[in-house]
Parts: sequence; C-alpha cells; structure tokens
Amino acid sequence: MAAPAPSAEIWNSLFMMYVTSAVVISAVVLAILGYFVLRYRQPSSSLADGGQDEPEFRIGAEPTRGSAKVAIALSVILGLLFVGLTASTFSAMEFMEEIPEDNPDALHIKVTAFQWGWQFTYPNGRTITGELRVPVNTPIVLEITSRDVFHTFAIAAFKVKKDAIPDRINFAWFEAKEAGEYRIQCYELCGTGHAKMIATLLAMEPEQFEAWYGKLSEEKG
Amino acid sequence: MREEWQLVAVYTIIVAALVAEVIVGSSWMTLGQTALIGVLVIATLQAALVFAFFMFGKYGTRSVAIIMLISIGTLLPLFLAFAFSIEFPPHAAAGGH
Amino acid sequence: MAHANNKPNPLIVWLFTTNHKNVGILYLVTSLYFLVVAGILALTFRMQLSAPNMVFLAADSYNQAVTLHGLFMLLWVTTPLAAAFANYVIPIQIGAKDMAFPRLNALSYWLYLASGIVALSSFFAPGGTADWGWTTYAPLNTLQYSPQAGGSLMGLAILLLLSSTIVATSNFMVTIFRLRAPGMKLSYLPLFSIFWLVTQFLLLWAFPAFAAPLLMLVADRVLGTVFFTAAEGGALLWDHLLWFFGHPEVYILVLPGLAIAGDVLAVFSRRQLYAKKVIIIAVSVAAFLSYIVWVHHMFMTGIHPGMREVFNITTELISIPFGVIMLSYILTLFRGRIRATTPFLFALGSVILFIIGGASGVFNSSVALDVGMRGTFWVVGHFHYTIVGGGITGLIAGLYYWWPKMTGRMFSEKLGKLHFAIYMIGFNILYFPMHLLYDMPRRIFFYDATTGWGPINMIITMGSLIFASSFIILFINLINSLRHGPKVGDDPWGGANYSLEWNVPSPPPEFNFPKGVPVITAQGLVFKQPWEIKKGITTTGGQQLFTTTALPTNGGSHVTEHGEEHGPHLSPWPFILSIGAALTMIGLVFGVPLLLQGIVIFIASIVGWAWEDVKEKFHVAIEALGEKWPFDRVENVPLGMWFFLFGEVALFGPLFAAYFFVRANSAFTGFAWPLPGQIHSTVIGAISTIILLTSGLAASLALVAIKNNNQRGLRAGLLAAFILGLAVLVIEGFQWAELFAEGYTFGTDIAASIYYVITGIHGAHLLAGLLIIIYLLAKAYKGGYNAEKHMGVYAFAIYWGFVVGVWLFTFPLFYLI
Repeated sequence: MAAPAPSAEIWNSLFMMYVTSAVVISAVVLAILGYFVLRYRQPSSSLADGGQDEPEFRIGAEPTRGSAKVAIALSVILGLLFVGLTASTFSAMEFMEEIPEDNPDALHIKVTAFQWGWQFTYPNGRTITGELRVPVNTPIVLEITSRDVFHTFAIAAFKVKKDAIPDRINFAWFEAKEAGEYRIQCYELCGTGHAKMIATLLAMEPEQFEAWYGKLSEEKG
Repeated sequence: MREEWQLVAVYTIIVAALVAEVIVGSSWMTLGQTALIGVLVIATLQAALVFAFFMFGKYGTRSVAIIMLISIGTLLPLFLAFAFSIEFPPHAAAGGH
Repeated sequence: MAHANNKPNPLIVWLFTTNHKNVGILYLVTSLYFLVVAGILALTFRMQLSAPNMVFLAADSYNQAVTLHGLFMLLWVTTPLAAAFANYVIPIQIGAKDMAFPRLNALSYWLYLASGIVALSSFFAPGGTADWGWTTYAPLNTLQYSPQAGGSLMGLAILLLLSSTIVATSNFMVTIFRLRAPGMKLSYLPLFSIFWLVTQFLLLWAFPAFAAPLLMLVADRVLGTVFFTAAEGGALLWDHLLWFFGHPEVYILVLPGLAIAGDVLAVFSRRQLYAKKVIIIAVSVAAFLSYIVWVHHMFMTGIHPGMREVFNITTELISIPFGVIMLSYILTLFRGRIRATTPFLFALGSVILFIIGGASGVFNSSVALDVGMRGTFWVVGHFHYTIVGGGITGLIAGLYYWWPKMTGRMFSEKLGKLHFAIYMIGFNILYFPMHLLYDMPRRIFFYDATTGWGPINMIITMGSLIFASSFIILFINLINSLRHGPKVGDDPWGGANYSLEWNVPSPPPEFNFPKGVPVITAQGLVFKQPWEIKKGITTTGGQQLFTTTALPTNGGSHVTEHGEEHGPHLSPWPFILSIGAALTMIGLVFGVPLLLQGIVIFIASIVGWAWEDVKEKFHVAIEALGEKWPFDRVENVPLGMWFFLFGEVALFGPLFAAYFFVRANSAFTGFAWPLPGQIHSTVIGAISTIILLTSGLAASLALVAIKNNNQRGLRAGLLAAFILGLAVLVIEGFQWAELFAEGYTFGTDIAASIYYVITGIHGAHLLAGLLIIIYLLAKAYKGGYNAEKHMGVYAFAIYWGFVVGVWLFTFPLFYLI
C-alpha cells in the first residue's frame, strides 16, 4: 500500500520495524514459557500430596537460585535492540519535525481548533471552516492553536498529529503525494462534540489549487 | 542544658540568615538575578538547619535523611521539565510570525 | 474475629473494627463492588461503540461513563483490591499481629469508602458528573467548559481518596519496616510484601503530587482561582502535574498483581524464584525510572524536542527491568513440579498478558511512532494489557490463592479453570483488536460507516461481553465456596515453606499466630513464646536480639503489658470521621448546611479519637520484637510522621513547581508579576517568619524538656508554640482580609491564585498543628508523657519543623522576590 504522504511512509516503515522486533521477541519468550509449563506440569491429582514433595524454597533461607549474569545478558541484548530502534526513531523524528519554514515553496496555514471544528487561515488572510485545501507535492506548514480547550489536530492517513493548546502555538508540516480527500480529526477529548470534530483535507493538483486560491483571494470578505 | 542552648544558637543563626535574606532580597534592583539566587540559597540553608535541629533529623537514622533527600530529588525532573516547557512560542525561529 | 467471651454485635464489629484482616475483607468487598460498577459502565459504552452510527448513549452520558470507568478502575478498584490482600496477608507475612496503627488503618478504609460514595453520588448531581476523561485535561476541566457541580464533587472525592492513601501508605511503611518477626530480613519476604513496599514508595511521592493539581482545580472550580484558565498556567501546567503522577501510578497498579504472579508461580512449581535479588533490584530500578518517563504522554504538546528525546530513551529503559523480571519468572518454572491450579493459571495469564502489553509499550516510547499512536485505541489496547492483563489478572490469582486462607474454605477448581479459560478468551478478543484500530480516536462516542472501524468494534464489544461473563463465574464460585466449599487446613497449597500465612489457621485468629511468635532462625521458622524471646535469642545474624524492655507480643492470648485482657480492638472514630469528611466534601459543593454538619461531625470525631487516646482506652500491643532495619532508631510514631512528611514534600514541591512555571511563563505572556512589596508587605512577612521560627524553637525545646522528664518545660514549650503559631495564623488571616477588602481576591490574577493556594494550604497545616498541640497539652496536663514515653511530642516537633520549613520558602517567594 503506497503511503499518501512521506511522513506516513516513514512512519509505516518504522512501525513495521517495531512490529517485527516485538512479534519475534514476544513469540520466542512466550514459546519458552509455554514449553516450560507443558514440560514440567504434574498430573492434577498431585495437589493432594502437596505437603509430601519437598519444595526448594524455605522461609528465611538466602535465595540461592539464579545468576545475575542472565539478567545482565538480557539487559545488554535489550539495550542493543533499543539502540537500533532509537536511532531509527530519532531519524524519523528529525524528518517529521524539520519544519520547512524557510522553504520558499512552503504554504503556511494557521489552524485554529474550537469547540467543535477547525478553522484554516491562509496567507491571504482568508479563513475557511471545516475544509483544508492544499496543493499536492508542496510542503504545508501548520501553526496550530486552540481558541478554547485542549484539542489534538491529526491527519491520521498522513501520520501528522499535534496538540492544539490554547495560548500556545505548535508547528507541524506535511506534504501530500496523492490528490484526494482525507480526514482531519480531533484526537483529544474536548467535550460533547469531540466525536464530530472532523474536517476534510482536500489535496488538489497544483493548477486546480491555484485556480481555487486565486478565486478565494478575490472574494470580498 | 547543652541541647537547649544548641537549639537557641541554631534559632539565632536562622533569624540572622532571615535578616540577611531580607537585605539581599530588598536590593534586587541593584543585584538582579543574584538577589533571586541569593535568597533561594539562604532559604535552603535555613530549611536544612530546621531539618537537622528543629526536626531532629540529625538524631534520626541516616535512612530518614536519605529518604528526605530522595523525596526532594523526585521533584527535580518536574522543575526541569517545566523549565523546558516555558519557551513561548516553542520554535524560536518561527517566533517572528 | 471478635473476642470469644465478649462478643459484640457483628454490625458493630464490622463498622468499628481495626483488625487488619477485617479491614482487608472490607477493602475486598468494596473494591469488587466498584469493579462491577465500573465494569458495567464499560459495557454501556462498548454497546455504544459496537457499530457505526449507533444510538445508545448520548455524547454527555458517554463521556461521563468513560470518565467514571477510568477513574474508578484506576483509583477505586485496582489499588484497593491490592490493598485488600496487603491488609489481610502482609502483617502475617512479616510476622506481626496487626498493622502498626490499627485505627489509622480503619480510617484509610472508611475514607476510601466515603470517597467512593461521594464519587458515585456525583453521578446524580444535576448536570451529571465529570465528563472530561480520567486525565481531566485543562481547560476542559474548568467551570467555563464543564459547569456541572458533579465535576467539582468528583475532584473533592479524589482528594478524599488521596488522603486515605497517604494515611495507608505511612501505616504500611512503618508496619513493614518495623514490625517484622525476629530474623525476618526484608529480602526473606515474599515478593508480594516486597513489591507492596516498593508500591508504597511510589504512592508516597505520586499521590500527593496528584493532590497538588487537584487542589488547584478544586480551587479554580469552587473558589474561582485561575490556574487552568490563565495563559501562564493552563493546559501544560495540568499536563505535567497529572502525568508526573500518572506514570508512577501505572506501576502502582501493576506491581502488586505482578508480585502475586511471581509468588504463585514459585509456590506451585515448588521452586525458588529465579534470581530473587535481581528481581528486587529490577523492581526498584523500574520504580525509580517511573518518575522520569512521564513526558512520553506529552510528546505532541510541542515541548522542547531535546526533552522529548531524553524521555524517549528513559521510557525505553523501563522495559529492561521489566524484561528481567518477566524472564526471571519464566526461568522460575524451569525444572519445576508444576501444579496447574486456578491461582497458577491466573499467574501464568498475568505474565503472558503483561509480556504482550510490554511489547506494545515499546511502540509508545518512540517519539516518532507516537505521532500515530497518541490518543488512539492502540494506546487503550496497550494499557489494558498491562494494567488489566498484568495487574488485575495477577490480583485475581491472589484472590484464588488467598481465598481459602481468608474463608477457610476451598472453591471449585473446575469453575476456576472455566473462569480462566473464558477470561483469557474474552480478554484477548476484547483488547487485542484494539491494536488494529490505531487510527481510531479514543473517547469518541460516534463514528460513521466510511471509517471502516465498525467490524473490529463489533468484535471488541463481543469480547467485552465474554470477558464480563467470566466474572459471573468467579462470583458464583466464590459464593458457592462460602456456603458449601470443603474446609481447608493451614496450608492447602503447600506454601508453608514459602511464606508465613500458610503456617497459621485458615482463617487466622485475631492476633494471627496462635502457636507463638514466629522467629526466623538459621534452621528455618520456629515459634517461640514471648518470655523465651525476652530472655534473648540469637538469629541468623548471631547477635543478641532483645535486651531492652520488651512488650509481650502475640502469644495467642491478648495480654497487655500489665497482664490484663482486653476486648477486640474496636474504635468508632475512624468510621464517624469518614462520615464527617464525606459530608464536608458534599457540603463544599452543595451548600453551607451540609458543610456545617460535616465539619461538626469531623471535629467531634477528632476530639473523640484524641480523648480515646488521652484516656488510653484504645490499647493494642502491636509492638513486635524483631527486625527493624533500617529504622532501628526511629520509633513507630515518629517514623509514621516522617513518611507522612515525605509525602507532604511531594505535595508542596509540585505547588512550588507550579509557582515557578506560572511566574516564568508570565515573562512571555506579558503578565506583570507584582513587584516585591507591591502586594504583600515584606515587613509583616518577616515578622510572621520570626514568630513562626520562635514557635518552632518552642516545640523543639518542649521535646528536649520531656526527654529530661521536665513536665513544666514540656507544658511551657507547647503553650508557647501554640500561642506563637496562633499569632501567625491570625496575622495571615488579617492579611487575607485586608487584601480581600482591597479587591485582591482568589481570581484577580494568576499571582493571586498561587499566593492564596500556597498560603491557604500552609495555613491549614498550621491549624492542624494547633489542634495537635491542644491534644498534646491535654495529655501533658494528665501526665501522659515522661522521659520514656513522649513519641507524640517527638512526632509533633518533626511536623512543626516541617511547617516552619515550608514557610521559609513561602516567605521569600511571595514577600521578597
């Protein structure tokens, strides 16, 4: 499945990397656990003579079992794995957060969340509610804030997400690769209208966008 | 009577420190940041004396003092995190908009 | 468990009991009841989510159901369920005959119940209860956006719960540290006791840290301060303080269940825990790390990227100690002789589910992946695997494991295994598919068909019904067992060599050890009579144990130090005090008449309690003669006070941190912080400080006097401390009145808000201290203190010193700079 945005592409490959390591490791561990249980299980009738088989433990005895080396080895293995995962995470983060604010082609849009909807203000000063139109293959820089309570701005398909917090401005950016309609939704409980705090992202071919944007600028408002 | 006099002596030191604190604090116009730091340092020293003597921390086992230090230590990350959340707006470069 | 020859009414016993086992059962019943309530709430919103365009719950009911489900499961179910077992078995596991402070133990239960009732009643307040999700994000939690009275009531209910917890925590700390049987080193204790101790340290610093933002929230809602509406405080102030508490809270929920799982795995495989010392180190490391990972809940808030990277790394580190613990558990089974009983199966289930939850947790540590995960059902799936899967499943293992001990009767293994099978199937159908919904936002009550989320949600809702039905089997099994279960002996599981509770009758008698005092020697567990111990025995360490005046311990008979018998240890005051506290909370929201009734009952019960003490009517010789490391030199009462004060540090610390944050922010928001001396007179502040310092000196001198058996010195010192403390309170009151007259009130600005809240809380501490002095003076005039017996005065001196110490920071921050 081709990702509709570079951020989603990076996110997906990072996600697959984590899924692979998580599935492999937990599968191995759970397999060992399952094997031990099946291998060392006593017949269920043996509980009755519970007192007769001498257990290894005794109250007040210094623990004698086990070696710290196993724990250290495990820590080192996990640590090495995490070095790999963290490195990939940080490089993905760098890409996702490197706001192209100095890129002359970038389109800057102010996003204002409110109970319950989204407002988008274009560089020409025009504000549109409920719909965000952007050209494809153009970096879009978002300045996100909120007019009332804590919201979270997200374009799930692009893996773009940032909190919209009153009195603060947060930055995010994305670039749409494919024209189409995407869902913008709030991801933090913000009152009774939370579930319906949805806007549409319309990624358009650049010519179409220019035509629309030109008309928007001319409108009297 | 030794312990009583010791307590009175500590009390005198704390009150003297208070006077110093007020003098340092009142000259913030000339001292600026230094006054702020000076006042907080003096307050910390006073609190340490109160812990050691008025709260008899020095008679308790060392464990009490250690756990008291850890209690205060757990707060350090909170202060640090707050300090790094103050930037307004978060991106200095974008601040000019 | 009442005394045989003097049986009071069973209702009176249950209301007035201070016996740790009765309190444990009260906790158990109450927390299971709240579990059912919160579970049914979950079923209602799972119904609503089962299909797109569903009309079952309206948005506001849905939000309330989600909020109450979260708050109840976190605060009123999981930890109290663990506390039920802790109350019941930990005193036995350590070899004590009760908790260190039995009445405070009862008080923590009754405050817990009262807070739960207040919280539930908020549901029926006009406009409903809190509807902002358990995380209570600001500023949705302010009156402007959530005006319903039930929201304020919920805030107060949580505060009441937190006060119950700090009392319980101090009590458990003293109990585990100072009431252990002779020879019982900390490392000899079963994992449950050890992890519970670690959990207490987490509670000690996390819960008061939650009280700080809650006090600010309640002040915002009831008094009109502006912490969460002002730009200087607002969303991030709440976020940091909430999650600073919130992450340790996760381990508070999980550790007791995991500990039970470990103990049960060892007992039923007849093997020692693998690398027990490594497990203990690992859990301590995890507890420590839990204080420096909370920012991973805030990766999207736009805070400093460097800080996010640091917290990304610390969060990943968390999985190392937990990985070590899980691996040690698994290796424990190696070459074991496993009895797959119901408790064992649930312990196994806990480990399996926690491993899966841990694996999905690694994803959440990634600051990049979190862009996708945050606020979605992935997160819901993850934390239910850890908290319900790891924590609650372990606690259910504990319920089956200790059920025969608590009731003396066995349950049906068949039904238990059926419960396990349905539980595991339901659990995984319920929570696993949530990971597939990693685009679906949490806490939405509605979605349309175009999202494609419908089918998976239907599966999840089916799973929730299966999961819920498994609990019906549990309750049928337990109720059946109570009536028809076969009687069991001391040790139905073969755990007598593992921990002490399997060496006493099921259920244990009032003071736990009928055979004598448990003593751990190089040869293992032996029971000795108190007089044998008085003569002095040697333990594994080889040193002489008891040389000082020893109180008799549990010898089966309840003989006090003077040799007379006493009745069951009952006290009405914890129960009555909690009624007063609950009424006070409700009154704060619903008006003065209720408030006054509450305060009257509250004060009356404190007086009654104190009088019980002055007359020494309540006397249980709990003092054990054993291990007290590392607090050999701090008596129980001062140590309890110390632990309470460590918690107080975690209350005042976040308040001062909030001061720092809002003041530093004001430089950016353009708010002009008042100049020194502009609002508050430096001279008056300095005078208050000197008076308070003198009061502190007087209290210390009083303690030194009574140590030398100087009764007049004690009374003079206490009296002086009282008068000077009162003077400070009066000056403070006049200052408040003057500021109010000038129109400088709670809500004037953020500087006023933080001033009133910090000085107000400090003033409340002064007031409490003055009340304690009255009690001490009453007891002093009756000759209740002497050179040997003055721990109440000692504890007060520590407390008063702390109150002075806090003021030493309050003064410069508000009056000087």
